[in-house]
Amino acid sequence: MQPFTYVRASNVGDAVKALSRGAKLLAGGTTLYDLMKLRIERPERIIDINHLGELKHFDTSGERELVFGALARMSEVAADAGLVRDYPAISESLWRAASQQLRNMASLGGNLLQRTRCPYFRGGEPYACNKRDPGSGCAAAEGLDRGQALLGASPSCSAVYPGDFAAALVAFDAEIDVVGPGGERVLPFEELHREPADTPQKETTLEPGEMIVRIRIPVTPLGRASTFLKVRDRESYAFALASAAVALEMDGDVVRDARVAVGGLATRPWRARAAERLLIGRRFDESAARAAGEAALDGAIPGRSNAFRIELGIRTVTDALMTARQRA
Amino acid sequence: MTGTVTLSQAQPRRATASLSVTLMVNGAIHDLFIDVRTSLLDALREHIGLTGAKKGCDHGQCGACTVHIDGRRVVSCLTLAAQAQGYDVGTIEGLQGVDGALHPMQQAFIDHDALQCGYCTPGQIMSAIACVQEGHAKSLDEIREYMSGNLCRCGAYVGIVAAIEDVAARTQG
Amino acid sequence: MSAIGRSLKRLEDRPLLTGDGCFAADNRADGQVHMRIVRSPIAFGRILDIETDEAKALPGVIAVWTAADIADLPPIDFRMTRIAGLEPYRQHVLARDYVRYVGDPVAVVFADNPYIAEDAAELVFCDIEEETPCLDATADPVAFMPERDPALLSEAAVITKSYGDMEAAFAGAAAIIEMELKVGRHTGVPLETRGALAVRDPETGVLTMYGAAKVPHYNRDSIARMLGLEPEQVRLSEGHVGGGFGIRGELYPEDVLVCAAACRLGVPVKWVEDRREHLMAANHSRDQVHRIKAAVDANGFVRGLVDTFYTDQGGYVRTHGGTVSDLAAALLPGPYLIPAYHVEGHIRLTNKTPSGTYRAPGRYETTFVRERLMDAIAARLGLDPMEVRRVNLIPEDRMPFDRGIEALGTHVLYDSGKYHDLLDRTLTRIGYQDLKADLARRRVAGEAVGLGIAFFVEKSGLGPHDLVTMAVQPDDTIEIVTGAASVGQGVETAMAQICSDVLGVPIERIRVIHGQTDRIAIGFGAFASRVTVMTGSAVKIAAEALRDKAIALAAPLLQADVRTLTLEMGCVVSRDSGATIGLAEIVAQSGKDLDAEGLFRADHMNYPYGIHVAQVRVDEAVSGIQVERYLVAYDVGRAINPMLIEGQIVGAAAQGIGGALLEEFIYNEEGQPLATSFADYLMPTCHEMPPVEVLLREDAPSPQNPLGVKGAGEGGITAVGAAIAAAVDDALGRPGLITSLPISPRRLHALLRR
Repeated sequence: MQPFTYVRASNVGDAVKALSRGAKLLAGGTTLYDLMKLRIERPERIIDINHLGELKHFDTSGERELVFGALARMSEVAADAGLVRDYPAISESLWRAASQQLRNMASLGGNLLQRTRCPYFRGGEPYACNKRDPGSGCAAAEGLDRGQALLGASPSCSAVYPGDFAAALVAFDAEIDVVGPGGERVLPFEELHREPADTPQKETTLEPGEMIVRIRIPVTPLGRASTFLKVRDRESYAFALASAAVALEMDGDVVRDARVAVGGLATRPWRARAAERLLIGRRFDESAARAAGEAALDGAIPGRSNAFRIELGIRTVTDALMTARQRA
Repeated sequence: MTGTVTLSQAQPRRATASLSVTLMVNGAIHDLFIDVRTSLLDALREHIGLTGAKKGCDHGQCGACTVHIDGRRVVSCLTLAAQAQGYDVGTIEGLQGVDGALHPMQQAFIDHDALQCGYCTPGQIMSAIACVQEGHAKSLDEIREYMSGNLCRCGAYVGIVAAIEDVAARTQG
Repeated sequence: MSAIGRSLKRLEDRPLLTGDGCFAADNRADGQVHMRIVRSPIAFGRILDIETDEAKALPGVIAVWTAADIADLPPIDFRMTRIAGLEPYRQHVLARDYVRYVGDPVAVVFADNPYIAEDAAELVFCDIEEETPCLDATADPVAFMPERDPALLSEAAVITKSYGDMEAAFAGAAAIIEMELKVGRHTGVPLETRGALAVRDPETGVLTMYGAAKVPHYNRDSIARMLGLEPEQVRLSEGHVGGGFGIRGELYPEDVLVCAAACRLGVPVKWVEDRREHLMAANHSRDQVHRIKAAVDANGFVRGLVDTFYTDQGGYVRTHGGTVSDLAAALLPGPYLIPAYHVEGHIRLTNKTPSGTYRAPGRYETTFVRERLMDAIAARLGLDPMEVRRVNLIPEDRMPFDRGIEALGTHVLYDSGKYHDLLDRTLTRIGYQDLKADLARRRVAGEAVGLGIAFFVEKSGLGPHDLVTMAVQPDDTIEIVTGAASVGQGVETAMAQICSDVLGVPIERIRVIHGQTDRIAIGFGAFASRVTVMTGSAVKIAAEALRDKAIALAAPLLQADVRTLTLEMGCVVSRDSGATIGLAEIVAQSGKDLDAEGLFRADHMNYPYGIHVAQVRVDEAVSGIQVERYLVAYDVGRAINPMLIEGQIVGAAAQGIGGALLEEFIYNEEGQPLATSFADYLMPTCHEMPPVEVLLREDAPSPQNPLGVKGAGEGGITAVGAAIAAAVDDALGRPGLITSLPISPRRLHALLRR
């Protein structure tokens, strides 16, 4: 691990100033410090933002929107009674991630910006990786690709975006408030993450010096009949092979509105609008759910050993929709 | 196939950076002068002499290093020591009463044969105490979910879950 | 009340619960320096040059060594199962000429602190001419180190065992069944990584290595031999050990390096491995492919069995020599008669991490193979799988049963067993017919649920002998010194119970010293489920000698005839007068030491046996497998402490489930390991752990030791892969579907699509 200087920020302005000068923000540390130990991240300056009290609050009781400070801890938000009742998909996307220890540490903002678990990215030097070392190539393109993305990949990178929470956010049309050297701006969450294309090292649309300060979700009746389903090699404490955040609003047997997003399968949080369109206005049954699942995975491009996750993704979306239907 | 491979590429080097950190651990103040890279786990083990928390993976994936920060369980391997300044750190060494009496969770681990080699045990116990305090020990399924961050390779899980269920039942009445 | 057979609480627990345990990394010495290994990033290649100048120049670096700096050190020798021809495949402590797996140590750095050591390791430059790695043990052998010796091939040895008239067996067969079966690469992965602290006393010259485990005496002798020291100049000390499982405590390159460095640098040297290193450098295991062919009669009786198997040995042959392959070859027939048997086990080197033993080595693999065969026979002939087993099981009246082949240099002689009886008891316990009907109903209702049952024979109590000394202390405690080792299995409690059973002293007053080479002349350590059998028997012998000595010394003190004296509750009691005297008091009054030795010899291993029952539910949608119920029936001859045994069995079952469903070391085409963290090498959490029922039996005590005990450490894992595979087949209604472990979601999905 490379040595660095450590400074605590006392306000958002300090943090942004340091960030613009190339420092890395330290919130929970569960991604940054982990990758520093692997020598993947090599920051020279670290700004500890854990003392920015104004970013720790969250409020799920608003009439128009749910508001989450970027430093709210995953475990606290996951356990929020209002969220558990009215937006189970969001709560589930949080508590099904990592372990309780890590959820006690990790912040929502940090969670959104977590880096890929691609073994070639994390494995360091023996592997070519355009994300870690632009222009070096992609070891996954030639190698085992069991865990690589099926959606949104490019020849230069197929690393999966691993976050669960993001799948729920993208389904619920979340927005994020971002502060940078030029002031504050609002960004639809769906526009935060980029597909790798030719520049996989650029993972988000944040400008240099910008930090996420808030996450906002518009209040919607869709929340109640929602769920987050995560399928993995091990039942708990593992990253997703496939996941789905879905929500339904029913009018009898007919779907009035629907949300479908998938996780663990794509290079970025992945909203499946084609699946939603298939559901809306139609009678809901298992075959409709299955058709939506197939639509959600439409365009998936399998590699050599990850094709099984296409069917897995379809089944995950299908099962999640069946669960949501029971909650409607 | 041949080709020359370089094992390691040169990295820009800097002098080691050290800093002063004051940690409160189990109610006692420790003034340390440590390498900035030091984790809370290494600070506890190598600088304060509290070796109860264990390094099973150093990447937050096994839970053997679990300690409490302001009463909440965290993995100390992914916490920078500097980050912990100003908080109340609790470790396995702080659990016993002044008379040496075991904490009820420690006793429950004996009663339910919840350990073999004992390496994961301090982390299991710190995690288990928090699990009960959080209110996440209301059913066996819930205990299993909320203890899944603590690996036990000896496979004493049945005893661990039973010990937590036992303590939870007694503390929650 | 007898202390044997009671579930007494463990003596070991308290320090482990309070953070006072002393594991390898908890040791420290003033002035210690830190060692960091520079490992090969390449699976196979010729070393052209290793450049260390820049690393040496880093402030705080004390030394950097490559193989040239320690050219005098011989390779690490075999501890057991020395088979002719294996010698050229031994591993040097630092790679010479070639690297043979990712993680192969190529250089070593010593520095003031671990951060500097790690930084310096990054500054070691290594030019390696890359060669095409061999990653398939069933492929044709290739050159081991082409430039050095093109004729030395990657097949190190072939183990052949044979008995019976195979031609006749096949000539009269009703059916011939052929299968290829594979068990993936997984291993023990104790939660404590390896580590050691070596200190040389400048006054006495004695070198002490803390952090020893499993086989301290063997390793003392090996280290002394390699460093040119006398055994008395080397001391190994075992503290707490965070799990053994076969892999921890073998002599590895790093152990030799810390010791060599403590001698040559003249400072204490500490090394603690990180998890990534552990997963690519400590012994792997399993990884066998079996091609079997069986001739059976119309009842499913196996008339003859032929097996050719390939053990993927990895980059080098380490301390175990041919152990895993030898055990696999010898014990494949398991509990069945099988009148004709021929096996060829190929030990093949590849460019993966070297392999060694892991809990139930050779038996986990071959139980999977043999029991899959039994299920295949049942399916082919339309018989109930339990009936097929019944016609093949060795009947009680054939015990002791001579297999006619050898394992680990001892004759395979099953000492005792009531196999049919245990099968009956197990089927009764689970309500076999009702359970089958119930599962069939659930399947009709659309659930994919199934039952799998597998029989196994274990082995335990490897000789040749074991010694303990025992002495009454002034504070009226009893100290037992043994050359055994403790890796967390409850050795202290079990030994204390055996001693307590003879002397009547409560176990809290008995202290058991283990793993200290300076406390006892000989010791064989803890492996092969030998401690309770071998050390336990020696404890019993010593305790009886101590009892007799106590009575003899007490007789004049109590003015009584020895024939009227007994030992009760730790006191010698006169039946005539009722007078008593405590053990410490005997020492005080007689002025003589009250101590004794116990030496126990065994020429044969003994053979515990058992049955695993798995009930699983397959979620076809997500290719997931949930273990709903698990039962292990196990006859251990005699149970010293049932609670400890149940803990061992249940814990071993957890590991078995890991190997059956989750754990696998995957490599890419270049030989790069992809499972180098706990996020990629998934072990069971408490979430994956089903309740495990244990049917502990003592129906067939071993006639080969005075306690009647057989080992209990491994039987909980042996048949897990076999039982779960059978249950998955049953759940899906596809007999013979599962031929490979682990049954990962990807693999199951592929099978379901087929």
